[in-house]
Amino acid sequence: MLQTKRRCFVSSAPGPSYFPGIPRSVRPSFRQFSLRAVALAFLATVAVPPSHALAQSAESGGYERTYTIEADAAWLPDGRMLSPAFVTLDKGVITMISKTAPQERRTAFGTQKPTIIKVAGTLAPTVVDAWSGLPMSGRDGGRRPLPQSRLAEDLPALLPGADAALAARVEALRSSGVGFVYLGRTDGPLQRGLGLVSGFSVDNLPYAIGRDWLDLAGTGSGSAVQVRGQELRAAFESAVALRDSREDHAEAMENYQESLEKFEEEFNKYLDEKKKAEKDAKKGGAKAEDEKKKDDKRPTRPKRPAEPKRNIAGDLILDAIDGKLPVRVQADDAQVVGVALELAKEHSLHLLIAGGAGATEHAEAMADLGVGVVLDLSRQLASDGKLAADFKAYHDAGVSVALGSGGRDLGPMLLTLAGELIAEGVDQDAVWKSLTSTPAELLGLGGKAGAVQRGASGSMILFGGASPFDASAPFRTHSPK
Amino acid sequence: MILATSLLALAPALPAQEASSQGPVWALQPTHVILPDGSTAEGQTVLVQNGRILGVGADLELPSGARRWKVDGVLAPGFVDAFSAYGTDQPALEDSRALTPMLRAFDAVDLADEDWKKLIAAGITSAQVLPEPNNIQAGWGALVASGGENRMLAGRTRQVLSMVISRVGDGAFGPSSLVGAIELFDKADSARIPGVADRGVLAHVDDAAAIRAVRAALGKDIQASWMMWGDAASYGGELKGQMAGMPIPGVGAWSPRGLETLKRLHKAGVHLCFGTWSPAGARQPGDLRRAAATMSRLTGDPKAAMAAITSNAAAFVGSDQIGAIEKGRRADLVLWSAHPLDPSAKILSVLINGEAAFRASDSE
Repeated sequence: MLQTKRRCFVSSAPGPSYFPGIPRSVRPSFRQFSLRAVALAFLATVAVPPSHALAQSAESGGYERTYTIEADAAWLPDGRMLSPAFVTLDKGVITMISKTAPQERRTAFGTQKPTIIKVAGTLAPTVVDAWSGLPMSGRDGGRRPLPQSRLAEDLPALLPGADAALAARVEALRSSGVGFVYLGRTDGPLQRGLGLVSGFSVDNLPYAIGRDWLDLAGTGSGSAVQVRGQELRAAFESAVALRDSREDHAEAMENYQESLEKFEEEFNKYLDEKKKAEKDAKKGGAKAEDEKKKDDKRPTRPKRPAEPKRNIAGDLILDAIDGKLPVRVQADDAQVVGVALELAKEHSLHLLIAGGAGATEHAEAMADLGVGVVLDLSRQLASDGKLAADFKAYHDAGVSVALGSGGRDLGPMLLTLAGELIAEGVDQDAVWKSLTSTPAELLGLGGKAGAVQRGASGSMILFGGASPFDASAPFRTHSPK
Repeated sequence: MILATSLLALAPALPAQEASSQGPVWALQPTHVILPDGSTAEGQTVLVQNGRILGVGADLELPSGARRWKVDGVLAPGFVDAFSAYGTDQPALEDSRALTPMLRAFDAVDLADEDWKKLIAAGITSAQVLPEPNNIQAGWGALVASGGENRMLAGRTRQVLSMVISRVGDGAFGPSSLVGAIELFDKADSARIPGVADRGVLAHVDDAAAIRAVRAALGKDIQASWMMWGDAASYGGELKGQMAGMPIPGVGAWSPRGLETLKRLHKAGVHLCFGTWSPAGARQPGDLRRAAATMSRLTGDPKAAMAAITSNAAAFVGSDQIGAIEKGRRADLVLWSAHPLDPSAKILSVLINGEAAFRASDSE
């Protein structure tokens, strides 16, 4: 679309009047200018790759190169290690993984050698931070979030330089090993808008992937507003009441239509009778006129039922109840989590709990309902072993556990803090999955992120030690080109 | 498991420091040893006698009667908290005067404080406690062992100077501007404070002008360590080849600029070290290792990152007795299940001055 705009801009460039102060003798004629404009337009569309010069496609993040990375090994989703590993990327997506180098391709112009980039170390997927602290402040103008505020609408356009400060943050995040993030507002009332899952473009700008999420506030760290379970339930009850009142209104409207038709019939009949009575009156004089007034029974028009008030917040919850919006409740408090689980059961919600610090008593219920939890990794800063204990409690109960930054900017400490959980007795594979494949599944990115596999993102980390957590060995990230 | 058992068995049997110089020699043979340059070596033997390291090497001839202990794990020097407020039961400061060169931070230290145990559990075997940088001449820092006997390793480490105007400039007793601070600093003649010529200074700075003023006043012969405040990117170039302490950023403070600054300071050859004290409040003892892991990830230089919490920190304090597994230094040693910069590594045992100060089995 922008490409079209650019063409239009160049070809519709104005003529001589745009050269004030230049003697007419040296000004290009309108005809010459038009020819130049056409030539420029041609160059702009043919010579300049559109994705570099113009906005990138949100689908691909603006990646366009095809190449193969040759690494010492790659961690595959099933826990296998492929060594050596040749991972081929096309437009930012993994298209092939093998132990041997890709073959030369025969094309109409001859054989084409694959581009192979050789690197030392083991390839693994980038982290999916299911509770990111990537600061989006400023992009929403500091407004108090409305229930219907879509964070996706506050994202910058995918143009190079669209938001240099945010791009620098994203670059730092990516160099720490993070490839995908959940972005939501960390403050605000019960309904704090619609969050999103984001990938990063070739220019380090976030772009939305998949559906919006209904972000509901509860209690716990990072939440400025403390919402109790009753309020959460009340919001759903109010939405259900809204639907009921709409159904009542629809029924009332049907009755109204019927009574309106009946009224029209009666009214026509009344008019006929009135006309007849008027004729009789003319014949009968003043006496008949008095009788006519006495018998004038004009039918009453039925009253149109009042429409229920508009309720956007309620509509969003109804969307969640109808399965159109996944729900994320940020809560540490067991009572709030309990209510959220009851609501999930009653309404078959697609629910994700962010926090869950004091709610391990609900672990089994969560596992039964298939509700995942995103634990706040910043709690590990207290070094009190409580996060590891919670992780084990949820994991052992069969809950899908993801780790996120807790809405804070943990920077390069993210992998270090996660690695500490292993020292505190959590299984290394479980920790690694809670940073990659599990959050990818919970956030609806299954197959696209969290694993080195065909069809997944080519954003990868490259580690030289025993695991990606080990900071004593080389650690790098690979962002597609 | 083998390692834990063996070293734990070893630990109580290790001799106390006051034992005779003819005390038993222990030959520790862990799987890996972290050498003074930060590299990790296999097949090393560390000889310990009377709380000191007698020697380190692959082909050491064991003295007759040496007791050999072969253990699985990575033996690393105990971490040095280069600037700390842990273990103080009151703030080490005196605000009624602008110059308090004789104030000793050690007087504020409570050796019985429970915090010392937290430091040991985080692998920190010694810490420099500093006076608060509220005065231009703030007093003497102290080097304290986290456990064991004879814990005051140095009652006077460095004379602490503060040229951070936001801390010294209270208007009543201190100067109210950097120029005023420099004028008072010149007048105070810090170079003549007894002990400074031998022990050197530790200067809190947040500006290139402050660094130049300190240098000009002290001359070239006095050793100086630098405590970096504010935006080190604006003056870090002045500290090439110098020992510089960097407060550990708090959560949310890892800005792209902060990360880039750390990388560039390292690249420029500033010898960085970390401590748990920060202008924004004390950090957790575990943050020391986290900061080193972060530095390692950012710079790709794990040796420099290890140095930042061991040998560089010791040099920052002005001590050649701690911070490395090297002949003649204290046997402040920590046995880890893997490299200490791997966050999944566990501490299996801590020896302070050759004596067991922490055992993993005790905390489980």
